[in-house]
Amino acid sequence: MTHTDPPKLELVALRKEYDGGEVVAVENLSLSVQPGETLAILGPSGCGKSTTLNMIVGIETPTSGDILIDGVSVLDQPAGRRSVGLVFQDYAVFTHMTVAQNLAFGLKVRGVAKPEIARAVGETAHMLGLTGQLGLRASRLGGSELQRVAIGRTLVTKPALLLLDEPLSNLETEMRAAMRRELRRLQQEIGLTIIYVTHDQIEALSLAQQIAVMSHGKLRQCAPTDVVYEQPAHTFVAGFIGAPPMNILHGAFETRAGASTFVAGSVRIDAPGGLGPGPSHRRGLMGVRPDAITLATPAEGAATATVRRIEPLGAEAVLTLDMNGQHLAATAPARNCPSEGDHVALMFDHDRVAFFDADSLRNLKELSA
Amino acid sequence: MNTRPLTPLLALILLVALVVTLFPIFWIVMTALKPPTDWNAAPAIWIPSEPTLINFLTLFDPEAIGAFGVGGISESATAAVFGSILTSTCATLISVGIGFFAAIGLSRYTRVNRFTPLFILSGRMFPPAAIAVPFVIIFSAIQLIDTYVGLIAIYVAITLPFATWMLKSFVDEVPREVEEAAMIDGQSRLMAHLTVTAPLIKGGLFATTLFIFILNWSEFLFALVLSYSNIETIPIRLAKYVTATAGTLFGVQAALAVLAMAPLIVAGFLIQKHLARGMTFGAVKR
Repeated sequence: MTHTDPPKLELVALRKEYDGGEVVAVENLSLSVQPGETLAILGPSGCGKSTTLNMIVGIETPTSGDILIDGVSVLDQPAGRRSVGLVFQDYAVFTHMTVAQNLAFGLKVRGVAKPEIARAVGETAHMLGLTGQLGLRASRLGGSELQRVAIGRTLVTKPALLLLDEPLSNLETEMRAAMRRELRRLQQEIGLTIIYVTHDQIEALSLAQQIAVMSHGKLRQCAPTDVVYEQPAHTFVAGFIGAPPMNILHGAFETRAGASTFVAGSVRIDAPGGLGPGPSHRRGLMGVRPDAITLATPAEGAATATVRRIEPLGAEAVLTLDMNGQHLAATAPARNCPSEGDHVALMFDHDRVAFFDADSLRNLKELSA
Repeated sequence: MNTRPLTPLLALILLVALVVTLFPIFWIVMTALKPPTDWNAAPAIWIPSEPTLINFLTLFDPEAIGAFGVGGISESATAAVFGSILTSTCATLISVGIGFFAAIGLSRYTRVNRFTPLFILSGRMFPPAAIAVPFVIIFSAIQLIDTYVGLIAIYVAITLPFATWMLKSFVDEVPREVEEAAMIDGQSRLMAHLTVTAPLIKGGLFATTLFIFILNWSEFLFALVLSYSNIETIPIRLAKYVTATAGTLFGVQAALAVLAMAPLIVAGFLIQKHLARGMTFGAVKR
């Protein structure tokens, strides 16, 4: 039951169809999670995140493809034999049982001896702050407590691979931060391999080493968190991660004497080499994070924009800029911020821009790689 | 539960409803306690001046009523009570048991055919009298006529659609994830349904069981045409107290009706808590 080493998980060309192929929930999904690593799967509702978890845990069968745990296919093993735990978003707590019975359920099914069950239940309850509620019926619990019972019920069985489907979505801010810390501690102490489905980017960025972004059943990118943030593989990822999202400028690449420059209005930025052979002038997109834009007083030759709207957010403010009809978001310190209607010069952090193909919307770095 | 004061109009409607419901019961109980002279006295005797248990005694000792100069029956009602308990209990348990799994099938695997639930109910869409005679012929041929097995089989057949439909509405309310959580913890699908789904719809199971039991307990038509001499149920017996040969033994008939009703009323009270939740069709707390 207990694994000393966390396992490696590989998904190979996973595909899941419903209604005889009319709906494709997951399409050609391949990724791997290294032992002890935490992967966050991000994506809008209906992108196939939960279906993927359900297939890994074994309550759904893939239409094609394979799931390997430590290199061994687990498709022929039923749920419950894979040493994979899943915490459901809507708790799935057994409301007809007490908290203690809920926590003991998985161990009981596995035939663990009674004293051992009592010890494990006590330990888990203590960790999740549920000791006082052990004798209560689960139907009497509130949202936060239910979610902790759901997490506890899974953790108590010590799965080698832990899947979490938006596990903190129903918690209050304070409890959520505490649970996040708790999960991070578990990550480090028990060394679980974790897959974490969420639509909360902060959660993903703070807990995960790798982020997978999905949309319409397809994997858009799976990379370390900083890569996903700075060099999104697709404009979908650029727009999905970050609040406000990455700015996308429409322009063109001009190549002269082997050097490429991205031009959009008065913006001219050197594009790194290796954009590949192509016509000397072709349409393209540039992505830049709001925090990679610095505002300055207008000067000759600089790209300028008009401040349309200011949203103060405490220490920082988010500015909506109008640059020749293209709208951009930028952040500025709230105490030293231009006013609405001001003309400002924009300075882009050249190391933090990403370029995308105008047709495929994919990152040119990835395309040329 | 929040309550509001009863308005006069509501109180009146409630009163009418109570009178309509309770008056027949009152009348039956009173009649059951009347001596033969009071049974059809005119003007009617509402409350017997000399309450007696002679009617109840007569049920199980047909000679007892002889003391009042009334006769005409020779058989005890014991066989009918036994027959009713046997057929109703067996048929109800089988019907609810099969219905539970049918409901899970319909609720969890509807992609089989979206008309399946309708097909299941279609068996109840024509008057029972239309199939009574064919069943007599069929049951004669397969020698199930006048047997408890035959009667139980037909009771299961006619109550199963109701059991399935009622239970489906309860199972629909149980989140699928709860069963899946049990399976992830290592239970088989069947065990997950038994240890998680069933207890979660306990109120629904109680309500359905009582409802189906009442249907079986009070069924008359099939019991009448499918029984000759070997088997008997309470409704059949009830009819035998007012016949050309037996005369009009209203008091005895009422006594048996009271006996037949009593267990149902007691059961209703005992599981009232579950009924209130169960009858609201799907009150499982999510």
